[in-house]
Amino acid sequence: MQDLFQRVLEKAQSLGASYADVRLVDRQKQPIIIKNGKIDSISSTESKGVGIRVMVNGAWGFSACAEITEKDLFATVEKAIATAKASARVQAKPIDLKPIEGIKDNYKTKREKDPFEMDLEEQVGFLKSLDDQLRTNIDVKNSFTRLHAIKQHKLFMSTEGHEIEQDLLETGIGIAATAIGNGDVQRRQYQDSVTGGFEFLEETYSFSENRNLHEIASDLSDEASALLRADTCPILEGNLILGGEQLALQIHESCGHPIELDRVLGYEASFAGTSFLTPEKQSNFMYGSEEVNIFIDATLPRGLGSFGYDDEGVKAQRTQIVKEGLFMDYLTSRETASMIGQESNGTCLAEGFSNLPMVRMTNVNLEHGDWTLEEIIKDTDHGIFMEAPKSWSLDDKRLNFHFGSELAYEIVDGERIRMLKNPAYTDMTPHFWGGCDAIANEDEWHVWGLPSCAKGEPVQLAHVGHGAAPARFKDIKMGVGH
Amino acid sequence: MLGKEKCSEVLKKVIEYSTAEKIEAKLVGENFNLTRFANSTIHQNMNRVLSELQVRVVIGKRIGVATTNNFDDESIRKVVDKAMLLAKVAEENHDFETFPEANEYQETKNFYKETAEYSADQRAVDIARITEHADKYGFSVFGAHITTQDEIAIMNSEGVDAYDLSTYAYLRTVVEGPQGTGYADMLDRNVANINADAIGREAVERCQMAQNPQPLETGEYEVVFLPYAVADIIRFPAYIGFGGQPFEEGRSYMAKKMGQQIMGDNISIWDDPFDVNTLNNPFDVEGVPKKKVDIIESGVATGVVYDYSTATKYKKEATGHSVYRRGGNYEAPANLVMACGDSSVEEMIRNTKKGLLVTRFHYTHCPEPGEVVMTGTTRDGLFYIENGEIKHSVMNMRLTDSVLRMLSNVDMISKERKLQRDWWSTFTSFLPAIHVTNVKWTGSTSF
Repeated sequence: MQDLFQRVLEKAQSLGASYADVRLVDRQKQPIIIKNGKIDSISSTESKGVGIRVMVNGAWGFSACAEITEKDLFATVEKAIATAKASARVQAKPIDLKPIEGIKDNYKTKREKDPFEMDLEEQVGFLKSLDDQLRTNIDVKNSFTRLHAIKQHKLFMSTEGHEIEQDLLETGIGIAATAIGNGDVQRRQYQDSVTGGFEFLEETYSFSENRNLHEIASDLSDEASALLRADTCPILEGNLILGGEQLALQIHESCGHPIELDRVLGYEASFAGTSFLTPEKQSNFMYGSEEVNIFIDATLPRGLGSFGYDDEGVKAQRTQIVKEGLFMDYLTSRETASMIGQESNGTCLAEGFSNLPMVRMTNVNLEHGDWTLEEIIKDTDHGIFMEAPKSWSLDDKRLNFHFGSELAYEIVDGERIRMLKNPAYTDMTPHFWGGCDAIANEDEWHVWGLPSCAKGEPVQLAHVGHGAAPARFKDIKMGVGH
Repeated sequence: MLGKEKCSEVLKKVIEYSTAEKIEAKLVGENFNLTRFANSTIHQNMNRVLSELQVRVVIGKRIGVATTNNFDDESIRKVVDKAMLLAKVAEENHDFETFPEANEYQETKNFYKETAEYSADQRAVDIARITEHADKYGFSVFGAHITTQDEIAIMNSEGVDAYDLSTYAYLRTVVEGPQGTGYADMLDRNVANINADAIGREAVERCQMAQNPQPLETGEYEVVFLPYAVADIIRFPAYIGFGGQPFEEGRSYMAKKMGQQIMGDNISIWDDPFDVNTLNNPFDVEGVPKKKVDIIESGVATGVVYDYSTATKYKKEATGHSVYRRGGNYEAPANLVMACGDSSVEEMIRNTKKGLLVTRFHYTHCPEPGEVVMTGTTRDGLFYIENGEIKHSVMNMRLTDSVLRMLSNVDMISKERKLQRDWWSTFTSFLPAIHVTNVKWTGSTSF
C-alpha cells in the first residue's frame, strides 16, 4: 500500500501539486440496539477508501474514492488537481502552508477487550441485562440500549515524508428509559464513550458515586417515572449547579466550538456559524472567572478525542485554552494556525476517508476544582441542580445559549427539596463562565465521550471528549420561559 | 456511483449468494461536488464518488443487516455472510412479515443533465458572481455551492427491482458587512434554475439593510417570517410528530391530538413526493411507491407517514417514507408542502404595526417536545417594523415559543413559496412566508 501511495503522491506532484497527502481509512462499525428487552438490530458497516488532498497554486483540492487501484487513485488525483485549480479562480491570497518535518510512526489504542473480537452473544446478553434494568419501573414504556463500537485502521502519507499508521478503537454505550403516564412523556438517558474496549462498560465509575451501568440504568428508570409527577422548573434567576454530563455538553458548545480557529476565521460562517472569540481576544479577554481553567488534550487516556496523530500528521498534544479565566488559545490546523502566526496543535481531523479534514475538538476539558458536589449543594442557599442534556441551542457566534436538561432538583438551604421536570437555562457565554465559583474535585471529574459532534459541509461527525466535574454558576436565568 | 447496469449486476450477485429465506439489497450512491467559500475565497473544494451496499437478510423471523462500500466478488460474498451471521444471533422479530412486493412507480422527473455535468469551474464562476455584488460595498461573502447526483437501486426476494438517479443543486451565501450580515439561497433539481446573480443581489441588499443593528427589548411581537425561517418553524412538528412510529407508540404530540384542531384553520401541510417544487422521488429506500399524505388539514391533525415495517406492525398502509441510514432505516417526511395564501411579504410588512421581520434561524432546538416548544436565535437579517415600514436592523434575538401556538396565530400567508431547507437540512420543504400575530422573544445577543 505504501508503495502505491508513494506513486500517487509523485503523480500529484507531477501534475503541479506543491503539497499532497493520501489518507486510507478502513473502518468497521457494529452497533447493537436493544429495545424493550429484545434485539432491535445488529448490523455491521464496513467502509474502506482513500481521500487525496492536494494544493495547487496555493489552493486546496480534494477527491475521494473507494477503489484502491493505481488507475482509480491516479484518476482521483486528477479530480483533486482540477478542483484545486478551480479553487484558485476565487482566492484573495494563496494559502501559506508552512512545511513540517515528515514523521514515520505507529499508534494503537490501548484495549483489553476488543468488541469486534468478542462473542456477539456475550455482548447481547450484557446489553439485554442493562435494558432490563431500564424497565424496572412500571411507568417505563420504552427502553433503549445501544452499543457503539468503531474500529479504524488509518494510513497517512504526504509529500513531506509522513508515513503514519494508526489502529483506533472506540467503545461506548447509550441507554434510555421513556416513561409515559400522568398525561406526560419523560425520558432519562445516559451515554458515554471512550477510546478503548468493552472493559469500560463493565466497571464501576468513581465519578458517578461508584455506580456501574446496571445501577445507573435502574436509577434512570426510577427518575423517568418520578419526572412524570414532578413540578415544572419555575422561572427564576440565581444559582445553577450542573452535573458533569450536562457540563460536558456546555463545554462542548460554549467553549469547544468557539475555539475552533477555522470557525473563528469564517470558514463555517454560512452553516455552523462563527465565534465571538476573535483573534484580538487571544491572551486579552476574560472568558470566565479565575476558577475556570480549560485545556485541550488529545493524549488523555481513554478520552474519546484521543489519538496518535491528526489527519495532517501532527502529533496529538495538550494546549492550555483558558488559564484562570483568561482566554489563551485555539484548536488549530496547519492552514489556520499559520494565519495567526502559530503552528498547528494537531486538531485537524476528517470523518472517514471521503471527507476533507478540518479543525475539530479533541478532548476539551474544564480542570477540576477541590469541592465535592455535596459540598457545593450544602453551600447553596437557593438554586437548581440540572443534569443530562435534553436540548441545546446557541447563536451563530456562540454567545447567547439555551440548554434544556432532563432532570433537576431545587436546592433550598443546602438540601435537595424537590425534583423538577423540563428544566432549562439561558445566558451569554462570558457571563455564564464568569459566574463559575465552584468546581468539584478530581474524584468526580470524568472525560465524557460525545460520539456525534456535527460540523462542516457535508456534515462530518467527530468523536470528542470533555473532562468535567459538577460546577456552580451564579446569576443564571432558569426555566423555559426565559 | 455505479450506474444502473452495474447496480443491477451487484444486486443480482447479492441475491444469488444469499441462502436466506428473504433478502433485500440496496445500493445508495452519490457523485457529490461541493465548493465552499469564506472571506470571498474558495477554501474547500471537493468531489467524492461513493456507493454503499446494504444487505438485509431474514432467516425465519431473524433479521441481519450488513453494509459495505466494496463491490468485488469477495466483498459481496463477505457482506452477505456477515448479514447471515448477524441474523443468526438476532432474536425473532414477530412484527416482521415480509419485504415489500414489486410495484409500479409513478414517473417523476428528478434528473437533470445540466446539474450532473456542472463543473468545479462553473461553480467557481457562480461564486465569483456573488463576490462581484459584495465587492461593490466592501462586503465579504461566505457560502457553499453543491451540485450532486444521487443514485438508489433496490432488489428484494419479493420482486422489487427499482432504480432512480436524481440530481440537485444548492447555492447559499452569507454576505458580511462591518456590522451585520445578509443571506440568500436557492435549491433545485436543475442547476439551470439556480440564479447566482439573484442570490448575490438579494444577500447583498439584505446585508446593507442589516447594518447598524439596534437592541430591542425581549417580549411579544408580531412577526413576518421569510420562508428561510418558516423551515425551522416546521422542523420540530415534523421531526417530533409526523412519523408513524412515535404516533403509534403514543410518544408524540400527534398521538394525543389526532383529529383535533392543533393549528389555525388557514394552515395545511402535506407530504407530496411528486410535487416537482420539492426534491421529488418515485419510491423510498425499501422500494415502496411514495404516496401523498395529508398531515395537517385546515389546522386539524389528520395523518402521519409510515415506512413499511411500522405500517406492517400497526396494520396501516405504507406511505413510502423510509429514509436510508447505515445501521437501519427510519421513517420521515421528505417532501413537505405548506399551503400558500394570497398575501405577500410586502403586504405583511405594510400590515405590521410593531413587529419584526425574521430572515432565518440558527441552531434551533426543542426543549419541550410535548408542546412543540422551539427555541433558536435569528441570524443574517432581523428587522424592526413600525406602522408598516422597516425602521432599522435589530441585534439578533432568541425566540422561545410553542410552534403549535404560533401556527394558530397566523393571519397572513404568502402566495409565493420557496423550496427551503431548515438550518440543519433536516427537511427540505416548499414553504410560504407567514405573518404571526404574537410571538415570544426571550433573549437577545449583542450583534
